[in-house]
Amino acid sequence: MAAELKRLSDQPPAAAARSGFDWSFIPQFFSSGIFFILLGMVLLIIARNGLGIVHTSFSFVLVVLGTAILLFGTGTQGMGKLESDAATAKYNIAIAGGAGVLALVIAFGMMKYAPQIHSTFDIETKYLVVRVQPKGDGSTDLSNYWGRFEIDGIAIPSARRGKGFEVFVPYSNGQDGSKPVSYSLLADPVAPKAGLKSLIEETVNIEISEQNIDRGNAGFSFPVSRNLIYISAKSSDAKALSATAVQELPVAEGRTPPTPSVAPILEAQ
Amino acid sequence: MTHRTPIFVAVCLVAVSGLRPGTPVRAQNADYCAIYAAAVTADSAATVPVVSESLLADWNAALPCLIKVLRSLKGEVGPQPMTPETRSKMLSLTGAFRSIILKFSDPNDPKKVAEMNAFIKKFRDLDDVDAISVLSWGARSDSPDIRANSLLILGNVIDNTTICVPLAHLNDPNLMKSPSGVNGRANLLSLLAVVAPWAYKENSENIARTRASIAAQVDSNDPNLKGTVARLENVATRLGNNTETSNRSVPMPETWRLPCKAYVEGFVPKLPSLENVQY
Repeated sequence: MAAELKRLSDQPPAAAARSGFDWSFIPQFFSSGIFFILLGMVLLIIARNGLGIVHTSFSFVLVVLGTAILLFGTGTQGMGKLESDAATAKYNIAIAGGAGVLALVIAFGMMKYAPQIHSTFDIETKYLVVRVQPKGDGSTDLSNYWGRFEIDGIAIPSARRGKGFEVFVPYSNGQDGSKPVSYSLLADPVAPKAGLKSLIEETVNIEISEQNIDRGNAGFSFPVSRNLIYISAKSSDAKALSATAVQELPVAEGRTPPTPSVAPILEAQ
Repeated sequence: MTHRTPIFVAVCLVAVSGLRPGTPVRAQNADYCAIYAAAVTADSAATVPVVSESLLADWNAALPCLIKVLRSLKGEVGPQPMTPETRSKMLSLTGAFRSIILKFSDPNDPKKVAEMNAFIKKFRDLDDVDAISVLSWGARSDSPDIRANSLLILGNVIDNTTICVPLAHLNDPNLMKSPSGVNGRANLLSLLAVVAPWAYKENSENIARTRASIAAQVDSNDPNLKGTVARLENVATRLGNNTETSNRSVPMPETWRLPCKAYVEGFVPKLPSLENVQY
C-alpha cells in the first residue's frame, strides 16, 4: 500500500495533464500583464476610430482609460511595496500604483488644460459663425438681397439674421489660417432700390484663429467670429453726377444763358 | 340706419386721410416731421439707420422735413469733430437725399429728368445758408461716405444764393489743417465750378479771388494734388464762360446778398480775412 502511494506521488505531472484540459491558464491570462497591454491597445484603437464621430469627451475617456490600462499591464502597477511583519498583525502599505498616479496627473491636467484637451481630441468639422452686416453708410440695406456664400466654388451654409446674414464657415481644429469666402448678393429684381447695386460680388478672407473667435458668445461647435464682414451696396454716383454736370442755373432777367465749354468735375474726393 | 352712421363716418375718415401702406400720412401738424427725425436717429451710435423707401416714396412730402432735420444739425456739425451720434445722423440723412436723387438720375428718361428738375427747384426754394453749411461741413468731413453724399446733393442744389457758403469754407485756414483737407478742398472747388458760368457779380468776383488764392498755395507738380489742380483749371474755364451778357455783371439781389454777408462774417472759426468773400 505504501509502495503504491509512493508510485502515485512520484508520477510526473504530464501524466496528470493527459487526464483532462487544464483551464487554469485562463484566469492566469486575464491577470497577466499582456492582457492589460492588449486591452489598453484595444481601447486606444477604439478611441482612434471614434475621433470625429463620437463626442470628444468620450474619445478622451477612452484614451485615458486605454493608456492607464496599458501602463498597468507593462508592470507599473506597483511603484513600491512595504511589508511590515509585526508580532500581532501584518501591515501591507502599498504605495499608489503607476496607473493611480497617472489618473491623478490626468485629473489635474483635465482641470488645468481643459480647452487644450478638448481641441486635441476634437477633429470633427466645426463652423465659425461670421456675421455679415450692411456697412453703416446710410444707404446700404441688405434686406432686399438674396445671398450666396461659397468657398472655392462650394456653397457654405448661411442664414438671414436681422439686417444682414450669418455665414457658417467650416473648419477643423488646428486649421489656423484664412479661408477665402466669396459672396454674391443679388438684389430683388422686382423691387430694386435706387442707388444700390443690383449685384454685389466679392471675396474676403476669414481668419480662423483663436484670437478671432469670440468664446464668450457661443459654444465650442459654433463659435462666433470676432470680425464682421461689412458690405456696402452703394452704386456709383457717376450717373447722377453726369446728370448734374449738364444742369443749368437761372439767369437774370434780360441776360443770355452762358454756354459752358466744359462740364464741372464732380467726382467726390 | 342711425347705428350705421358711426361706421360710415369712420370709413370716410380713413379714406380721406389717404391711409395707404408705405405712404406717410400728411398730417397738418408739426409732428409730421418727427417721423423723419426719428428715422435718421439710431438706437445706438454704432449703427446708421437707413431711411425706409416708404418714407421717401413721396419726395414732395419728405423734402421739407429732411431739410428741416438738416438745418437742425447746424449746431452739431461744424469745426468740432462730429460725435458718433451726429456722424450716424449725417450718414442717414445724406443717404436719404442720395436715394431720392439717384431715383431720378436717368438723363435719357424725360419723366425722370422732369422729376429731378422739380426736386432741385423745390430744394432750392426750401434751403438756406444754414442747410447748405451743414452739407459743406459734410463735404469736407473725414468720412468718405458723408463727403460723397454731401457733394452729390450740393452739386445738384448749389446756386447763386448759397455758393457763398463753400466760398467761406475754402477761405477757412483750418480746412487744410484737417486730415481730409485736400479732399474737402477739391470737393468744395467742384461746387464753385457748378455755379461759375451763372455766377452773379459778387459771386463771380469771389470765386475768381478764392480760386487765385488757392492756386497760389498749390504746387501744380505735386502728384497728390492732381485733382485739386484739375478742379482749379475747371473753375477758371467755366468762369470764363460767364460773360458780360450773362450774369457776371449783375449784382446779387439784397435778399441773397445779406444772408451771405451775415454767414461769412459770422463764420466759425472766424475768417482771418474777408477779402475773398466780399458781400
